[in-house]
Amino acid sequence: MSVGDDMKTLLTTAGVTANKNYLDMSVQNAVAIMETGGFSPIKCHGGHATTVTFDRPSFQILVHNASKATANTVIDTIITALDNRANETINGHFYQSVRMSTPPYYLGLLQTGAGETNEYSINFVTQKNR
Amino acid sequence: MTGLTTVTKKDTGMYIANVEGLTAKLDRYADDMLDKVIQGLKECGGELSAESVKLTPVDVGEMRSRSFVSDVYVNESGNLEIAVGFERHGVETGTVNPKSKGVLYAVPLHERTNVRHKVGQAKFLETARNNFEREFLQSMREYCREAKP
Repeated sequence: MSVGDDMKTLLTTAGVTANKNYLDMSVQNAVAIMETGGFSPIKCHGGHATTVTFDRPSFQILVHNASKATANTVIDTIITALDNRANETINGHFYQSVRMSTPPYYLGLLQTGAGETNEYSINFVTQKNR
Repeated sequence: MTGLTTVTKKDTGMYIANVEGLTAKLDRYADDMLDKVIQGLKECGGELSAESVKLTPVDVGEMRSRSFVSDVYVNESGNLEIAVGFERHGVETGTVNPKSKGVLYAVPLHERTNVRHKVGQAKFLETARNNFEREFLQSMREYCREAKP
């Protein structure tokens, strides 16, 4: 399971429905977790037989909502659910950290299949055991 | 011996000869280090800009020509910093103002990861930064090493 799946689990627990790597453009209100690569892994050579690798994937949350006020509420819920997590096992994967790297950006108005909506972006970086 | 700094330990304490020479050498070292750090930041900034331009989408036309590298400046924390970005607004004064009108165009283009581009990609600046993170650190390390007295 990728970082997107793990974060989706956390969001579901917090009551936010999100798609992984897919933003539904047929509706006005949607949340997507986009996996955005990240930094190169850190390798620690601990001995002749052991090499520990820490992956550092990043992801982005895109929030669509017709109402700016509701969008802000959703964003607050997402940040509370994901930011500042440390030394925690999520879906069987051990994360050293999950943290917000950039505060929410307002990207402007966007046309969807159901009408105009507000778009926001929040970026996160993580570090986890491979 | 003149011109050399020597430290001598004696029973009654530590003695340093030619303190003036040592101080002058350290002053020169501080100046050299500052010059090298500025030089390194400029080189890394230029490389980051060039790499990010290669990844910038061209379907909107002019974004590639709007990349900039600022001068090296001292940030609020007192550290040296260089700004690399697109659509220069406020950089002249040492700060990039995200509320400037033109920035609103570069940010959505960078952040809309669900949009497909025929040439280039979203996250053009962040991807270049992530890809070259280690090279930049190595390069800065080399510059600092050159400043050694």
